[in-house]
Amino acid sequence: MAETTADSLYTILAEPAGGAVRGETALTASKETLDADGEERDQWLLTLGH
Amino acid sequence: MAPHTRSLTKPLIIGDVADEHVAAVVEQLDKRAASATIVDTAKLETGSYRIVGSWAEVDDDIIDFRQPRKGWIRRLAPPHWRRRTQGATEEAAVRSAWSSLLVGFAGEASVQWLTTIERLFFLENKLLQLRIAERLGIRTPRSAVVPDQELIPEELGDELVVKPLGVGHFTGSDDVEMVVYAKRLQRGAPELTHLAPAPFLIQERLNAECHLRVVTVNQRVWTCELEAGGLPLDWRKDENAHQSFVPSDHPRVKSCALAIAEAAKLGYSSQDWIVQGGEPYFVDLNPAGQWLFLPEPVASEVSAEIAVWLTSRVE
Repeated sequence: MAETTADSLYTILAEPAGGAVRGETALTASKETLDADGEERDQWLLTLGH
Repeated sequence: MAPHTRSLTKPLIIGDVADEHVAAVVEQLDKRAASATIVDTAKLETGSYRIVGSWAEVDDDIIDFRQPRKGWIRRLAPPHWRRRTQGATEEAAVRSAWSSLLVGFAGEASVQWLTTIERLFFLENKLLQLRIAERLGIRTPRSAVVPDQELIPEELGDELVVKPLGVGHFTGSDDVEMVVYAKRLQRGAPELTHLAPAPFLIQERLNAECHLRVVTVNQRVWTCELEAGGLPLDWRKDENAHQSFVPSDHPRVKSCALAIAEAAKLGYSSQDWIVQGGEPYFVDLNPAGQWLFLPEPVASEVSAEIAVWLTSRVE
């Protein structure tokens, strides 16, 4: 088995958002306008579930 | 004549009037002398509302949910809405209360939605998307999700693409917004020793000749093309790339894209495809993705098509 570490790929691969994100904020292309759909998804699913 | 009921009720848009895409559709509704009730969590929180039984009042609009109407969900909440809320706190309960109130609109069964809220959420899942395409016989990059580097299937080759299975962005510990783009890695890359803590999608790397952004609205479809030469693996990383798409015609991709949208029960979809060796591959889709960065006349036609559908008969 290969050696594994505690850091996730989020830690390893993430980089600061300087411009367009997800191809979904192209019109605004700023970190202030990151789309709410993905980041909020888990909380919304919880809402839908109860 | 089919037993259609003429919709005399205003369509319902879940979104923010300040959102460019909502504004584009509203502009098209204006051209048709139509209007919509527009609501999201922030509007409910800051405006006036009253919900009694099957009736809802939002500012000056009255909704009788016993009457059929059309609806389109663009965004449930504006970006960063109550974002700092910590789980299991009173703030989280408050957030949940506002969310539930909005779901009382966005989940309403009497509304004929362009895409239902359930499909919007579940079809963000890349695994489900890929399986739908595969069942339809549509080419997709070979894909896997495994917790260990040694479990990556040989058939994926040595050049891999790794992308988040969950959300693609988050706020870092120093409050900096972070993004995780699709990343090209070799099979033996040390990064791939980090697969266990969070599942990521691993795919064979395609040698893209061009990227396609395909938009579907019910039975209509548009394809736009972006030459891959000189672009990063994830074209979204290049801001100029967003303005470099040109309308194109890929009949086979169009029919496949429509088949995927239909199978996924998505009235709207924004799909990413890659052409390699002349063969199109479905990569993924966003059930609520943007379209206004695409060139004209595509952008306006998509907005108009949504408006036309919103003002059409309720079936």
